[in-house]
Amino acid sequence: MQLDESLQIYIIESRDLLQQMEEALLTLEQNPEDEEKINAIFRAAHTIKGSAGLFGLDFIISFTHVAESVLDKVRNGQVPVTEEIVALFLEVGDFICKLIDHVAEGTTPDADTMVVNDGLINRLNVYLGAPRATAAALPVASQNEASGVVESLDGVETSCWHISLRFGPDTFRSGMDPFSFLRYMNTMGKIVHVATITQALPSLEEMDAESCYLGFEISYESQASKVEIESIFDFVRDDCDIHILPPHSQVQHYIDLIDRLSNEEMKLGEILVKCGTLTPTELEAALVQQADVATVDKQPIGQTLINAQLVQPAVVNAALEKQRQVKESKNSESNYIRIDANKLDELINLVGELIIAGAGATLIADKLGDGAMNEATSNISTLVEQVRDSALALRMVQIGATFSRFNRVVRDVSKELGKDIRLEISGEETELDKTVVEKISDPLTHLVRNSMDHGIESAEVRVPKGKPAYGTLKLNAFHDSGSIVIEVSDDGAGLNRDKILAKAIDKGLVSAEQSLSDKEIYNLIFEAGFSTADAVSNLSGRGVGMDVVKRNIQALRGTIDIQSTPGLGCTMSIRLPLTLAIIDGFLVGVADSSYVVPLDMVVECIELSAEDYASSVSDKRNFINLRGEVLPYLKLRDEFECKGEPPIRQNIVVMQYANQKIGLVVDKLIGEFQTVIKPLGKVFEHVKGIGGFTILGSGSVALVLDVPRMMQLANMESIKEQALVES
Amino acid sequence: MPVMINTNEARCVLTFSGELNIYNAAETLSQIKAEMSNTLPIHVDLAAVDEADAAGLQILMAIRLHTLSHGLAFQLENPNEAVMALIELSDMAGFFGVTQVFTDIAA
Repeated sequence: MQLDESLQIYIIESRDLLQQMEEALLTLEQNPEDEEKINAIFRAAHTIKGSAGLFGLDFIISFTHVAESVLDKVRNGQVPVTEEIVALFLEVGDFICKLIDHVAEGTTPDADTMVVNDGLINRLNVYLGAPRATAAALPVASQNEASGVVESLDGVETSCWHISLRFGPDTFRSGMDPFSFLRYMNTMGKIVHVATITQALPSLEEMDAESCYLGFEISYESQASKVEIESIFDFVRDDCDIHILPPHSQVQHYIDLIDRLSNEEMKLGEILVKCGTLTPTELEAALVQQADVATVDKQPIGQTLINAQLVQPAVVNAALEKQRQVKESKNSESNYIRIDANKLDELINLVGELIIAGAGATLIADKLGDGAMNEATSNISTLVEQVRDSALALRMVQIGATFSRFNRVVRDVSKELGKDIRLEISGEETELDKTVVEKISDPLTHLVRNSMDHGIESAEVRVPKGKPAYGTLKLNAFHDSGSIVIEVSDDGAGLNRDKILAKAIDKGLVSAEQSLSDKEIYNLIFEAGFSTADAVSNLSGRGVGMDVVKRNIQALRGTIDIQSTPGLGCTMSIRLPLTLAIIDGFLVGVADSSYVVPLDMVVECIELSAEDYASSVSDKRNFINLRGEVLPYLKLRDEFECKGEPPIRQNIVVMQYANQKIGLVVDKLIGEFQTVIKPLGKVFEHVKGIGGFTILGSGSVALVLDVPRMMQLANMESIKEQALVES
Repeated sequence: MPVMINTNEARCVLTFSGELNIYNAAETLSQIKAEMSNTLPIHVDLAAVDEADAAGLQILMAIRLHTLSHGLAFQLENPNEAVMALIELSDMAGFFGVTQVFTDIAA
C-alpha cells in the first residue's frame, strides 16, 4: 500500500498528538484544575479532526467531532473533570489511535470497530445531553438583527456571512476564474467587504503564471441559505479551501477559522479585519485609541480592542493564540528536519569507511616520518573523530519519550491489580541510539508489569510492614562507562530466594545439591519456563517473558542484572552499549595479531611483574594483587592459543564493566584506535568472547573483544574464592 | 507581444496591450521576469488592455509586491474598465494606488 506522503505525515502527527493527549490526561487525573492540559487535549482532538477533513477520513471526523464537543464542554467548565471523564477519554484516545491504524493500513474500520465506535459515542453523548450550566450559545438567526438586539455573549456582532476562500493552485488550469465566483455572489446578495489575500503570492522570480495563489476573505450580506451559498462553489470545492460562517456565528467558529486560516504571520488587526469581525474603520479607531493610551500606559492592541468593546475577548484570544502558534511552529519547523533513516545509516556507513581510510593514511604518514605530513594527518583524524561523533549523535534520542509511555501502563495495570502504584521517572534526558530505544521498549514493559504484579505487595500487606500504602515504581537511566544503564526498581517485597530455589529444583533447572550464590539464584528467573506466581494472573505469571526479556537484551549486546533486598524491593538493571556501530577502541597486540577492546572500559594499564607471571605458570594462579584488591586476569595468549613465546615484559590492561574488574594480559599496548565494528560472519557467530572485527589502517584485521562475555568465561567468582583461600 | 518593457535612466515602463489573462499569462510573466528593473521606479500602462482576468491581475499584484519589497515607486496608469472592474471587485484599489498617485520612496 503506497501512501501519499502528506497522509503519512498526518499519521505520524496524529500519533504524536494522541501521545500528548494521553500524557495530558494522566496529568489531569492528578490535577483536575490544570486548564492548560484541558486545552492541550482539546487542541489535539481538534487538530486530528481538522486534518482528517483534508483527507476525507469521514470515520475519524464523525467520531472525533463528538469527542471534541464533549471536550469543549469540559473546557468551558460545563462538564467537570472527573475520574470517569479521564478514563473515558483515555479509551477515546486509544480508539482514535486504532482508527489511525486503519488509515495507516489503508483499510476502513470493520464491524467490530464500529461497535466500539457506537459504544463510545453513546457514552460521550451522555455528557452532551446534560443540561446546560450557562445560558450560552443563542441560536443563530438573522431575525434577531431586525429587532435591533445586540447578540448574545457568544455571538459576534456582525450581521453578515463570513466566507473564507483559498483557491487551489490548479484553479486557472481547470478553466476557472476566481472573479467569476465573486461576480456570481453579487447576484445572490451583496459583497459588503472583501479582503484579497496576497500572502501566498511568491516573488516574481518564483511565480508560476498559471498557478493561482489568490484567496479572499469576504463579508457577505445575503438572504440565501448556507446550502445555497455553498452551491456557488461546487465547481471548485475539491480544489479549494472554503469556510462559510453564518451571520452572528458563535465566537468558537471564528476561533476555529483563525486556527485553520493561512499560516502566514499576520498582524492581529488584519486577521480581525479579514475575518469581518472588525471593519477597517473600527480598527483604525482602535489604533488611534491605543496611541492615546500609549502615553499613559502602553496596552497591547488586543486589550485596546476589548476595552473599546469592538471585539469579544475570546476572538482576540484566538487571534493571539494563532499568532503565537505561527511563530512557534516557524521556530520548531526551522529547528527540525525529518530525515529518512536509510540516509542516516548510509552516512554512518560512510563515516565508518572514512575512519578506516583515515587510519590507513595515518599509518603511512607515520612510516614516512615527515613532520608536516604527520601534523596534517593528525589534524584530519581529529576532525574525522568529530564528524564521527556528530554523525552518531544524529541517531541519539532521549529515553524520556519511552519512559513517559509507562505512565499509562502503570496507571492501567495498577487499576487492574487494585494496587495503588506511583511511577517515578528520572534520567529521562539520557540519550541512546534510536535502534536501541525501539528494541528496548518491549522488554522494559515486561519488567515493569512484572514488578507491579509480583514485586509490589497489596496495600493490606504493605501497611503492617510500615511501608506507605502506595507502591513506588522507579524508572531511571544514566550513562556509565560507554554504556547506558536503565533501572526498573520497586519498593516491594524483593525476590524470594527460597521460593525461587524450590521452584527451580522442582522444575529440574538445578539440582538440590548445587550450592548457589544469591545472584545465581536470582538469575534463575530468566530461565525458560520459570514462573513463581502462585496464581497465573492476566499480566504475568505465564512463565513466558523473563527469558525472552533476557534474550532480547542480549541481542543488543547488553546484560541484565538483579539486585534484591528481601522486604525492601528489587532493582533490575539493564546495561546496553550506547551505539551499535562505531566505538573508541584500544588496540593491543598478542604475538602477531591485534585485538581491540572498548576504550571506555579501560581503567589503566600496568606491567605484569616477572614474579606474578612465574606464579601464573607454576600454580596456574590467575589473579594479582592490585593495590590490595584482587584482580583476576585472563591471558589472551592462552585464550586464543597464540603460538610463540611471550615477550619478557607483558602488560595487563585493567578493564571495568558493571562494577567488575578484569585484567587482560597482552604482549604490547598499541594505543587508541577508532573502531568500526563489523559483524562476524555466520560461521563465527558462536565464537565466545569476540564481538566482531575491524579493519586496521594497514589493511589487516583485528578482532573486537566482547569484554562482558570474557568476564563470564573467566568465571570471576571462582577466581575470587581461590584468592580468598590463598590469603 | 502582450507587454512592452522600456527602461530608461529614470524609470521602467511596462506597457500592456490586448489580453491580460490566462492565455498569455505565462508569456507575459517570463518577459517581465527577464526584463523588469529591480532598482528603478515602475510605471505600468494599461491603456491598451481590452480584456483581463484573475490570472492577469495576479501578475499585476506580483509586480506591485515586487515594488513594495524592493522599495520602488509604483504607478498604475490608465487602467481601463476591464482592469478597474477587477480591482474594484477585489477591493485592491488601495493596494495598486489607483485613486491617487503613489510615491513610495525607498527608505
